[in-house]
Amino acid sequence: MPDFDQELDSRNESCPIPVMKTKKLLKTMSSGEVLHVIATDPASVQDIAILLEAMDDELIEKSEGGGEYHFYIKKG
Amino acid sequence: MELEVTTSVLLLAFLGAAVMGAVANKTNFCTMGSISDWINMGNTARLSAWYFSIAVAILGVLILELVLATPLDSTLPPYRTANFAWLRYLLGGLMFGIGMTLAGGCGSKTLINIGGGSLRSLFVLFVAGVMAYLMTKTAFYEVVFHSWINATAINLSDLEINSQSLVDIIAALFGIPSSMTLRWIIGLLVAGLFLFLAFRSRHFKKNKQLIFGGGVVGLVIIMGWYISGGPMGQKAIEAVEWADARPLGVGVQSYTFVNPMGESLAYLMNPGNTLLITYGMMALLGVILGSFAYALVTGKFKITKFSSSADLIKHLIGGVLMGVGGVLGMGCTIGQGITGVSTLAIGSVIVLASIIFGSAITIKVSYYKMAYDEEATFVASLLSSLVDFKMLPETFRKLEEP
Repeated sequence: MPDFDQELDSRNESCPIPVMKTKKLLKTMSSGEVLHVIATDPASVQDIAILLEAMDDELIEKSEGGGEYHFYIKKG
Repeated sequence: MELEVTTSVLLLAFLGAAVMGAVANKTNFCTMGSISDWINMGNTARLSAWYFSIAVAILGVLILELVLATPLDSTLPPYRTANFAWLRYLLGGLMFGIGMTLAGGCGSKTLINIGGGSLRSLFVLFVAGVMAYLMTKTAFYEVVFHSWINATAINLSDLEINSQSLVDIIAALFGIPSSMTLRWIIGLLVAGLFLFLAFRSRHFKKNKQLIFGGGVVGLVIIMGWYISGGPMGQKAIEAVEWADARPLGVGVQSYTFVNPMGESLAYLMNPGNTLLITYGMMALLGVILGSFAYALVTGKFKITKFSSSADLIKHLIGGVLMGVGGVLGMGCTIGQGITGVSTLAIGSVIVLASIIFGSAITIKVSYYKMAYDEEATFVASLLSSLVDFKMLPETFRKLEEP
């Protein structure tokens, strides 16, 4: 599990809230910092992939288990 | 034992819906998500999947009507009715668009989420079902909406226009007959327009999963029309005409999800009466179970619940708006947005546009409030969102775009 600078717990929140919160938080972070997002909405997998493509940030690790999705995003 | 033809129609409706539920779950086909992608990230790939399914459905309806002679002029609901209730379409679509965004998904997505284990969506289904029931089975609509909404409706027959089909309107405007040739030309042009809108997105073009998802949803809509309007459906309609005890909701139709939520509630209040089981209810059940099967097989089933009381209230308001708006607008993102638009009814196009606008403005306002840590007022967020959509001049902007 990578080290991270900030964490967003978006468990039990439905689309589009997790991706909107991720977008907001990433905008406040500095280049190179890592954000850990936890979500339970399956739609967040695709939503976050699309967000990162639009924002030029990098998904450095993604894992799934027990109905939870973990994303480690490095601010570009 | 041979199944009664009405039962066969219901079973096939269930199967088609189950395919839609499983495929939509797998490919993440989501109309509200597609608007969110567009508004939040400028990505139109999922919106393009929606456009693609509309194009497929329009092409299918052309073949059904003009090659297989499937009659789609008189349907449930009456998409092509000459009673052009433009305010009902506008308001219903707007309410549904706002509601589905607050509730985390449109009618079909709510059912797909239930299959995936979402208790929030189950709650939304119940709330929207109660409101749909009130709107269709009680005097609620008559008391609250009918007098002022009906007063604005335009009877196209008075203008010597047969229906609100784009073909009939264009034929009347140009004083030409609504011929087979004209139907082909206009149908192909509109389908071509939606195909163009879909395939101009570079993200959609390279995403086989989205092309598959959009294509299957469009095909299922065509299948829905064929089940209820083709030879088997016509036999069912005929059988019901001669029956002593007539089942509800037998007619030419395809998939739609809000009115069936109210019908399901009516059935649950009287579960011994199988005559209350409708095509729409089977569609509803099919999507839930198709999605559930997919979630179970892939290990993605997980019970999810409300994150807070504010989350519950948001879903409650969303469910109310979906139930009322879905009945007012005579359909949801699938029921009007694909099924209705496939008939080229102008009212369906108005509902589709209103749903998209209602959802887009809700997403924008929510993002402004979130970005400004809930300190931004609703009015300031709304005005700034309308400026972003170029619907108001820059002088109305109250907040910088986050």
